[in-house]
Amino acid sequence: MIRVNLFISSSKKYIKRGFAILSPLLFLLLLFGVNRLMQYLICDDSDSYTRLAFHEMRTQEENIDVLFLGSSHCFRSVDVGITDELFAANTFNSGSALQSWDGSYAILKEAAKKNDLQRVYVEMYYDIAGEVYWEREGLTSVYIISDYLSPSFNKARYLMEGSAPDYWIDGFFPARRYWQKLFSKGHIAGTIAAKRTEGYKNYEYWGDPETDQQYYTRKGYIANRETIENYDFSAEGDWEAIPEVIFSEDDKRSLQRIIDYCEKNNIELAFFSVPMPYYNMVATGNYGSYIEQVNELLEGSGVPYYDFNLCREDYFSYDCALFMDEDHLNSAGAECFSRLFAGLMLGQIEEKDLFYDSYEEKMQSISDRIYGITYCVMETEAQKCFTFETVQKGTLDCYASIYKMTPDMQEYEVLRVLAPLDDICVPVGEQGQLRIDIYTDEQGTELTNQIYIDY
Amino acid sequence: MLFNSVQFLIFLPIVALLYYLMPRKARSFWLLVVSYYFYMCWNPKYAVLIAISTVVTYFSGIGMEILRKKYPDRDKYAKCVVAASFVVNLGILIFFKYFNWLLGIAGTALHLSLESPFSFVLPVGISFYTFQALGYTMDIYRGKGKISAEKNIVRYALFVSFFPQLVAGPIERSGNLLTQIEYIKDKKIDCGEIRDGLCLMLYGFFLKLVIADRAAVLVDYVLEGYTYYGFVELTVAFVLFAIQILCDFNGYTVIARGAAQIFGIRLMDNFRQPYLATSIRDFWRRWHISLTSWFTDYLYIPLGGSRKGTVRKMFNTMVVFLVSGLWHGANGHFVIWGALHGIYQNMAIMTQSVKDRLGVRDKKMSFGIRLFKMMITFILVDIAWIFFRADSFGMAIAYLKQMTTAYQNISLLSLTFAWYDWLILIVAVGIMLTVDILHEKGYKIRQWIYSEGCGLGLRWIIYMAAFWSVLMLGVYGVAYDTSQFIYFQF
Repeated sequence: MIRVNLFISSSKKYIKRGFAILSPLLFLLLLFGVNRLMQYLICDDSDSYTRLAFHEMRTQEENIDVLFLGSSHCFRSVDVGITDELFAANTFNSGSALQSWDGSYAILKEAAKKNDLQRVYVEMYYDIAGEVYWEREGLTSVYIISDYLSPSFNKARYLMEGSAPDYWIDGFFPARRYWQKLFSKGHIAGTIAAKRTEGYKNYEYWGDPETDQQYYTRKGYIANRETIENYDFSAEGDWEAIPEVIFSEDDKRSLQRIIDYCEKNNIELAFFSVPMPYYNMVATGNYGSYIEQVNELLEGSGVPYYDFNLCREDYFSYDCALFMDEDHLNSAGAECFSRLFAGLMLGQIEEKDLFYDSYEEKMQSISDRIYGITYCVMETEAQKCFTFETVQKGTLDCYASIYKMTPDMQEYEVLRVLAPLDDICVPVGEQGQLRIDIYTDEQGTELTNQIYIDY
Repeated sequence: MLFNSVQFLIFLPIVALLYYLMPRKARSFWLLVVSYYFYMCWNPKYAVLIAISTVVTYFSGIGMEILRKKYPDRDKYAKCVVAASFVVNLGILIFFKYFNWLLGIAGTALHLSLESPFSFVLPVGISFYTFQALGYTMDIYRGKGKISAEKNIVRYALFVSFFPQLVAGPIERSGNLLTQIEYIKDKKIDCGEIRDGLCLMLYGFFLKLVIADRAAVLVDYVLEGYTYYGFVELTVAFVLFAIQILCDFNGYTVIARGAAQIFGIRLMDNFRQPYLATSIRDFWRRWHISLTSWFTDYLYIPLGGSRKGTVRKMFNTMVVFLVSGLWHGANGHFVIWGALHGIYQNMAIMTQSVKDRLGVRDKKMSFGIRLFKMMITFILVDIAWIFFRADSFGMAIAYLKQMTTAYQNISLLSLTFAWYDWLILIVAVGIMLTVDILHEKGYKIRQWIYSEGCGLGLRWIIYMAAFWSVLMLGVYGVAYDTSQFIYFQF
């Protein structure tokens, strides 16, 4: 009896000790468990493209041979249906909104865990460059990647290098970002309902690809059917020129890591830029500086850079119909681009035939015309006034007719007819659109642009 | 490096892990190195000031001992050493904290435009470590051989610079902290102590992040545009400020105590439910205890304390509170804050005989009277906080004027807070009050949580609930900067 009691008491002692040793682990397990529960309750990602893309990337049965990385320019431009066929390989588009190169590197490492990557193509949108990562404030573009990276050192490094320490908790505990939603019964109920659907559980696209203007196809490619007509290109604010030093030290470090990683793992690597409308190139004014800086950065690395903004029109027309807005290709544009890209990579098209040698040469090749406008808005108590500036190549006359359209676009009021493109004001509180018809002749026979602006 | 920053949450476990892994003899040195690193994260140059203060007080302690051995009958030599130590330490403190202010006063008095040739930021925590080091000097002097000077410079330097309490106290006494540092080498890992330390830290974070920083959002919002508000809004703001400053400072102290306990060191408690005080005198027994006791021991008693009649006692009390106000900052409004508390105390002294005649004794008080006294005390303390919170004396008067003359019909829900912010604040303050009342009644909550009576399941639910409430409901992250602790500026 005494022996039994001794055994029980010594066992209790060991259990207690064991529990004390294991308690930090138990704490961590509970921490992650509650974190997941909170995330489930308040983080509504039922319409996240990245969630679908990352799931597909992880669950690909076939090896991913070719990986595309980059910003929205990438996920809207690389049609994997076409690249699969032309490369005769499994290609995957891992682009995400405003994806910076630290994000690209994190995704590359995540993808390489399960796949024997043969080729990696990294897109280089100029507007991504120049970030100091610890000064980032809007971190949505970081979180849409980190939220779907598997728990790993790679994820921790990405979050800790990609945002200042004040933001780390929001990065590691996504529910923390939406803490206010804890007090919204409607939001929690809606989130749970959305997550309990079969579509969500099976990682299916939530819309209808047949009718939606924009829809998720597969393997990261997001198609968009919208088109630009009559050079309807406009942007609010002054269009900024490319800075003399565009890449931050953080950018350089991330790009170097991508280069080193691919070199170490014998992965063929290339950088590329997707064609943008001429409007964008003309408005920037010195896009050539960006090309020079990329080439300078890659000098000596042996990694090529292909800028498809230098394409000859025989290969890529840059027609309005290929774009969905001032920046991005639509599905028709993506199809053209994907074919061209694959052709170049597979050696079916010669680089020297496809591209002009320089930005200046490219600019000389394009016609003189008005490509769109930029505008600034000044609001007083009574009026909202618009100041316009044309984005044009060459010296051209400009006459504009301006109409105020009702929100349903059924009726309009004529504000100006064939007059210079001066300031125009509308009363504060009214809503609708301004239609600006631009002509290069006083008689109004040569319509160059029909631009719609919300007011 | 702030306690409520991610850097600290990385720093502390690394320091603690290495502390327990390294040979015990090296522990003091390790803590000294990391304490200086901790301080240098703010401004590396100012670590020199701590070093100077450390060296001066270290040698003054040893010097006094040698002189006393050599000249046992001549205490004036030891007195000279103390004086020299005070001159150097207070000289540094006055130079960095009060020079520009004094120059401004001199300029006003002499009608001269005197511009300071120096431009520097106030070294963080200078008032705290200077007082701690001077307290040691005084202890050696007063000990007259009973308390021996610390010979080991590493241990002594750690006493002055121990990082959990370096920048905002508690102002420790050599009898407590230095003794514990001496025995660091003998301490084994105590999981219970570490767990208790972590729980204390969690509660400190709750006070700071959930209550103080949330209250600060509304207080700052209302006081910034105080001219738009009236009695109700400004009263709410100042009641919240009273809660903010308690939770901010007590939050810091509790985190400091928790962090120290992880290393097996117990720091003194700096607060004992101050808003449950039934008189101003009682309030000062519970608020910033380490500073109050420092002033009592090293200023009030040397001035004569209460031994030289009522008038002298009142004078001494006033001096202590004026100096206490000045200690908080080189600005007239802090002095007025101190003066107000001095006046409160002196009024209590003056009415003492009346109270004695009426037979009013705290122990005999009914709950109603006790509550009434608590409320009166809180109101008096809160009025004084107006002068503490204001940027200047003029601003404090402007707040008071606006409070007493304006009435605006503004919904409290429109004061930058959403309804759930109010809900969080009210529930969190309710939790804090419950904890305070239980402590007041002598219940030991943490001990109960660790006990068999609580049960494993409930214990872990409490841990998780506490952790997640701080994580989810704390004010930090994207919309806010990591908020400074108010007492860091002193």
